Amino acid sequence: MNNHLISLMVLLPLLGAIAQAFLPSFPGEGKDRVSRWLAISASIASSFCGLVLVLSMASETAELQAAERFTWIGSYAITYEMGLDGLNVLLVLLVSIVFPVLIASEWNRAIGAKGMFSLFLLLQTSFAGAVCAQDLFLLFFFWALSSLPFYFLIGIWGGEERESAAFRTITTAAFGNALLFVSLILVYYSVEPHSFSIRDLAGTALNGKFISVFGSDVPISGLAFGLAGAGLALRAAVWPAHAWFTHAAREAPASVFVALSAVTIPVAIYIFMRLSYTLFPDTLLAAASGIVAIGALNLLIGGISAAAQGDLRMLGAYLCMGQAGLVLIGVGSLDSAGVVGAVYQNLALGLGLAGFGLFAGLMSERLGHSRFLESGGGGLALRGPMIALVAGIFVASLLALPGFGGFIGHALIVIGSYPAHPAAVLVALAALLLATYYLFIMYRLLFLGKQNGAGSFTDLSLRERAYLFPLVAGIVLCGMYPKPLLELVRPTVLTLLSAMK
Amino acid sequence: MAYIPVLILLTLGVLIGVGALGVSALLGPKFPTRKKDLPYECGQTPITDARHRIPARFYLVAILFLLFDVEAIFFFPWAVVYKKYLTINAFILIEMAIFLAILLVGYFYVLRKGALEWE
Amino acid sequence: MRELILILPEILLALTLAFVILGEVTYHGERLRLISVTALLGLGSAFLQALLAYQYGAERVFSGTLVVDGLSLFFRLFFIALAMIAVVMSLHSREIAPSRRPEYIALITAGSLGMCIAASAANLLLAFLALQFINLVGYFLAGYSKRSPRSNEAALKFLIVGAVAGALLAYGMAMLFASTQLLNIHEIHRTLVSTPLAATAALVIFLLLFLALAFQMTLFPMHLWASDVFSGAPTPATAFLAIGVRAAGFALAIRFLLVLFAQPALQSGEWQVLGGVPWQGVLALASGVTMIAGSLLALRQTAAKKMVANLVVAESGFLIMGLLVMNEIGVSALLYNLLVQLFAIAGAFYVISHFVNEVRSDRLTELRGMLGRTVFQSVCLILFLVSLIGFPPMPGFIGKFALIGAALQQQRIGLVSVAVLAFALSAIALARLAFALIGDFKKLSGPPIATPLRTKIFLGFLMMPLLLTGIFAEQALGWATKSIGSILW
Repeated sequence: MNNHLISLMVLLPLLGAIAQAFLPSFPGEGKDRVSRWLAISASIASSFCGLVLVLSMASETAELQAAERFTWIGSYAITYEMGLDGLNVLLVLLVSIVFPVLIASEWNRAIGAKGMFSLFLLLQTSFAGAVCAQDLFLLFFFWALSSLPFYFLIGIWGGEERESAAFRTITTAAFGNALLFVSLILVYYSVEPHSFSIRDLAGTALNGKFISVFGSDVPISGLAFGLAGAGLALRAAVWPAHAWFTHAAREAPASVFVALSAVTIPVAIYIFMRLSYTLFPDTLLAAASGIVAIGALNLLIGGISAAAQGDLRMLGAYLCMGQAGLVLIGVGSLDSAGVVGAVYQNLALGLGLAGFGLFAGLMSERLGHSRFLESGGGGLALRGPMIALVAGIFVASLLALPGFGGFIGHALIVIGSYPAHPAAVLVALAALLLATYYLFIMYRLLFLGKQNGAGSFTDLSLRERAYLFPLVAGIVLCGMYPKPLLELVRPTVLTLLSAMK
Repeated sequence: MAYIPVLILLTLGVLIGVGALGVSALLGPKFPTRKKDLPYECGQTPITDARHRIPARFYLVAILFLLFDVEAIFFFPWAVVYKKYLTINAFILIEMAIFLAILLVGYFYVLRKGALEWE
Repeated sequence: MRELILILPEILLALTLAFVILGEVTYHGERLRLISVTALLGLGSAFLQALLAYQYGAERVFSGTLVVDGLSLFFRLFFIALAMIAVVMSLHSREIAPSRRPEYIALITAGSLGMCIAASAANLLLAFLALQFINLVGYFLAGYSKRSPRSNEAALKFLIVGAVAGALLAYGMAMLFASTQLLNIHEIHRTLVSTPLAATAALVIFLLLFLALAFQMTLFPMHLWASDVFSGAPTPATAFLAIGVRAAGFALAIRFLLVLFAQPALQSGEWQVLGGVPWQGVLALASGVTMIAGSLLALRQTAAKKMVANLVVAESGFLIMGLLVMNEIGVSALLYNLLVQLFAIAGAFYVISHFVNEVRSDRLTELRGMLGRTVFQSVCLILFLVSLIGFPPMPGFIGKFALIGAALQQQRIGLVSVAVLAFALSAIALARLAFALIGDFKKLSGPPIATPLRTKIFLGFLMMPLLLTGIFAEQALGWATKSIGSILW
């Protein structure tokens, strides 16, 4: 069926951003009001399309749903092809939930609100497009589009060292994009007739193709896999390419940090999954243990570094790194439970980190800083019970406590990886124990204990409750009733895995 | 082999020239005075040093002369074959008229811009 | 008679030139404005006639000295459009005094006339003449701000390097003429097919011609002039030179290298008549070094014009990759990129000229905070530059992909890696410029600058074709391919 919901979902935020540019500036109080409402309505409209898409997905099939396809540049076989299947449906949900929340969280931004909203809308377009694209050129188009707004977001509204953080972000993003670009072109030119469509390139199309690099023959599948992996790793802050991420996490405003960690990293991992499972199945088979090793390494290093942090924001950054490592373990497990768990954990990671990042932002707004290791804090639970509750829910999800989204994902990944990689599972469990330790310490230091420190600490306002609610609801729903979502993911994963073996 | 006379001519020319100057430099008396060392200005007393800026007018006139002289040069081959081609087709006159017209536009521009004024 | 109709656009350009010159000396004071109107009318009619010329087939005119085929029709439209854009840019810029505008417009028209002829030239002498004509107009345009020492320096540098290039070109053409006794490039090709050149002679001729054309296209090793000339010239002139002089070089390079030395039918990169000349190695070296040098230099600049100038130089390196692969895909990608860059470079320099109007300087430190003062123009500048370096989502990306893909298809891994590296570097350079424009967002760095309506209209007029070439990339690429396909052999 050729409905245009996906294109609508992708284009609505862009139209909102363009409309923002043409808004005249109103004098006085209502200066930003029009732009705020315009931005949030564009974002919510797109999210609505996304939710409709997710809800209307048929659950027993592995086919591409809501597909649209028309030829864009025929002479280069570039098609505008979008579609939903098990791999990306959860991410559509993630993008739909997170971005209106981000715009709502920046509601009261004093300076340059219009520009910030336009950039967020642009990000929503690019991520929605990157997630749904089924044509490699289109995918790269949207993925590269998503790298530029971060430069401005961090550089304009960031902290003290924002210029260098923004610079490092754009440099790493540029190199990552370049590597991915080369990989995609390699793939394009190695298939006769040339094609960018993922469908056409799926499976064994790349077998037995070689390219001569300085004399020796290198298999295209392996080279492209390596380049794409490296390019995506640079943007997903996989250790050791994570320095830019921690620097940006320190300097970026809270909502931008959320966009960076809770959206970019899951989408990067999704793109990696899409490319490896569909285009490079054989190379993936060979490299699966390596991926698991990298994931375990990230988990370990993220966990240990997080334990040493005294700042909420940095804690979140290293947590993110660790969780991304967990998802990678699931990706490399090549077991249906593990891969489904990876996809699910992507969503849970996104929601949980979005919540955690926003929580860190709320704390720094109220306390003036986001360090929790100081001796001057504590006992905030009595003054801000809602914040404590909400923070507890986010922490619980990140700790994979039952009843919250993180638990399902963790469990599935652990179950799926154990047969093939027991060592990785042990590392994961150890990291989980470590995370329990430091997250509980953080919680205790902030919320429990004696009240000290003068100064007001207001609880969540109505607006803040409104925008935290979708995240909380999402996490709880994912934890309590994962069946519908899992049923959406499973058929696709099973089909992909059976095609690999 | 056929160019030997040229070589002889060259040698003799060089010899005579260098010889005349060289002998006068060696054997001539040398009593330089201030006035005798002044550069020759056709009998007039030189007013200033020669090392000052030459007005750009000279350059302008030279360039303009060059342009219109080259135009004149292009006239000559045309004039040679003009009579022969006139019997075939009168267009040859129009062609040269167009060429002349283009350069007349330039001349008109130069005239009205005052490039031909001396002061 | 038919021949005259075929070159009617050039005739109309010459007539416009004549009227502008006559107008300058007859009108005084307020009526000088009529001259710009006359010029635009004349250029518009030339553009119209160039469009109408598509109904005639490809032909040789004037006993083979000019060729009117798909390639020359493409470039004619390109150069006349460029002239119109340059005329409007000069009207909006404060660097060119209103009393001197007619002269400037005359120079622009003359330059575009020379460029059109260069694109159609099929005779060695005519090509040489056209190139020298373009360069001569360039010298004047570069030095147009008579009181600015940088402008004088730019003109002098352009003159000296241009003279060297002209000498190299003349020498190369003389050697070619001496080997074949012919001036028409089609006849030379036929002669060379039957009696190929000796290896040393072929090498020397190729190198001389390539060096002269490399000057024109700002390629290594003749690329050093571009940065200083483009930054010293007044900004509207920079736009005209940066687009026109380079495009004329590319037009001539395409015609010469394809018709003189390549096989007809444009199938593969065989240059049988040049024997063992390692022409692809030379072109690859020039391309690679230009790309890296241009982007690295752009990264280090502290003035906007010089940064954009170096980005333009890097772009030339990318473009020559299209010629390197010597097939239809590569050359049509080259033409597509030139088309995109016409609007991108013109738009970028247009906004920079407005900034220079305001703050009298183009240094990045002076431009800090421009985004806060005039959002529309700054965003347009960033979009134009994004399009120039070929970053998504602007159409330059499609062109960039086409070029890199064409090179990859011929397994030129080293060149492709250099190209990708330069691509990333130029993105970082652009980020630096954008960052300077943003400045310190917390406080306004100066009074807000109002954008007059005519500026908005013109910027929209430049942005629209740019976006259209992206959306209708298929049609644009098809037009470029058709232009190549109908080259006369």
